[in-house]
Amino acid sequence: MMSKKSQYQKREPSTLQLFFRSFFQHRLGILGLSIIALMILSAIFAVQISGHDPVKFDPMASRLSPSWSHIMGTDQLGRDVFSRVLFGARASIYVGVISSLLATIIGTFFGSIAGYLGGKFDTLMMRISEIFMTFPQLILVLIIGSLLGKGINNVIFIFAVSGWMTTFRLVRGEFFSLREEAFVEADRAFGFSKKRIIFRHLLPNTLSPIVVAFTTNTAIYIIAEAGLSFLGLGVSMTTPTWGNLLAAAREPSVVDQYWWLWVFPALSIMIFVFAVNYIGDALRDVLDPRQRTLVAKASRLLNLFKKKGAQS
Amino acid sequence: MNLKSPDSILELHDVNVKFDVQDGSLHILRDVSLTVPRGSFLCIVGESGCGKSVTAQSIIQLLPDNGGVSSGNVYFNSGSEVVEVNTLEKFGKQMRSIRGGKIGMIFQDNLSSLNPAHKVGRQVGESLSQHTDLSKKEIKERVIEMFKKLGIPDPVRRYDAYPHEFSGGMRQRVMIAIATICEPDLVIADEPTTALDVTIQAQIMTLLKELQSAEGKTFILITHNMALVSEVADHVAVMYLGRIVEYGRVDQVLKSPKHPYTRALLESVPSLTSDIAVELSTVQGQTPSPADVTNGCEFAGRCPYVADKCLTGIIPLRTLSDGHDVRCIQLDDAGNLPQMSRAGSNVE
Repeated sequence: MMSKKSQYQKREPSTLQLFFRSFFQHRLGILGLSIIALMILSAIFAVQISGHDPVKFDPMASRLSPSWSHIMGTDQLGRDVFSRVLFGARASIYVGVISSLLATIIGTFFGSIAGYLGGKFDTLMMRISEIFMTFPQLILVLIIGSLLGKGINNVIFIFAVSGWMTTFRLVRGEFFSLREEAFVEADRAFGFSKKRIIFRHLLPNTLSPIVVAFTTNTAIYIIAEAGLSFLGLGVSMTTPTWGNLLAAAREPSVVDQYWWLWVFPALSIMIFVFAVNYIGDALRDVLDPRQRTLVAKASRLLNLFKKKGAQS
Repeated sequence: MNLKSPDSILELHDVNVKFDVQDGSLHILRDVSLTVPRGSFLCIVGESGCGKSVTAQSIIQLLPDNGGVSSGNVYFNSGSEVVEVNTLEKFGKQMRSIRGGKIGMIFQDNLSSLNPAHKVGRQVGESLSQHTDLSKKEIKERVIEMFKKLGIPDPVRRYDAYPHEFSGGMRQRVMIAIATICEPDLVIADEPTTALDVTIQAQIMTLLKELQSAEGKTFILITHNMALVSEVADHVAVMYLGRIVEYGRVDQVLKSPKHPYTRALLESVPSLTSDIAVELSTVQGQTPSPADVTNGCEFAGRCPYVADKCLTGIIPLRTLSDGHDVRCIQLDDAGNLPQMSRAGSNVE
């Protein structure tokens, strides 16, 4: 009995443990994660870190170049750029993450139902998604913007409505192949409802591509917000976002004389998007067993060649 | 009510199943009638494509989307009431409560029949949470108890394992656990041991037999393995091309097979005691496509005893003097065949 027990004493690591273990071995993933964590933390503690009020005018301190008291300088109204970048991070990250979350939820919800049921509902959803895909996003933004006004939540709404289709198609495709699996037939034979089969049994099997799509979408939305705000179509100018800060560079004089007004927000966007993409790549590597085996196969093959080379 | 016998748990009355295919429809099950007494162990045997699995699917109404019961009735006697299964809505509440709740199903491919993303214990318990009102703690206790009963070692730890961490035999035990945890009266096992090696096969079969004798469950075992049939079955139904060609007690069918197809099938099973010098016989010819057989006996094209009368009309199922049913008009009442009309020929 004792020997039998010791045989099971060493518990196999759970899937989650395995996931974290391999994620923490992924250097770029860890780099991305630390950058994101740092940026989110500094956005949360923006008040304590910056030491300046982001909206306080100071006509005496207009367009100061970076110095110890204003490490990223000031803008034409004398507002501290560093504190505006920090507060801008709040809005930009909020827009990116929440829009991506909403788009992912909408896309996953309809994609899983359409993919599992197929038939008329699927055809209908496909046509709807095609309509959304062919409709220019910029025009949609103008229409909704003029109807609802320029709020941060309106931008999120626009992004979610105009961006759910990629996730929808991804999830639908996954469900198309999953629904033919034998365990789904078994689920039906055990009397499970469609709802339970779709959301409790099939959805967990599609989670990894969904998570990866979520990170990619976050990066895309942050860039999109910056682009829209640069054009003055996004969040209203009173709220500092990275895009609104960049909008200062619309003036040619700013671009060549007051570089600190646009370089720092642009750098923030770049670094954040890089970091998010690193995390996405890491998740893809860790979560997708097919790619993992490919890498393993490639490295095994490489070792084989090395050995052969050493022998000859 | 409509049952032929009050003791039966399941009755199929002239069930016909058709599948829509690109050019027309295929007649897959032809007038299948079965009476399954409560507490019995019925084996349905036959070669691939004879309609064994379709029979099972039509009982629990899980035929593929392009298939359906075109005529006939499937009655299920739950003890308190008799339900005509084929009139229920396919994914309605009542049908779902029968599936899994009152009729359990064991599948052939146990790895792909389990969800790779969920822990095994949870998958077994999910059946319970779907069909009963037990609390989570009670469900876990019941599952672990079930694992113990089915001989899964270290059940408490195994509860949290994933399907890929199990061996084939253990996974099949898990499948049996899922199929029987709600204590259904009828369990349909669709080739449950095909993917397993012989010793594990024997273990699983013993397990099923124990469940039948100890708990009075009714089993329908679908298989092409004749050795298994002789070990566990009470009754055997032999199917050929969508029809039941012979039905009787296991000793009747296996010891003194009457239908030419059953005879040929049993002669083609190798035996340890048979003479090595004698070549193993095979069933001559190939199974025709269900689309090609429209008239007469389905087996006529391969039957060594074929006569002109076999080629027209519908061959009825008749009861022989020893009490078992055969679908062959060449037999006399004692079950003897006439002289072979084309012995050893390869006529297709």
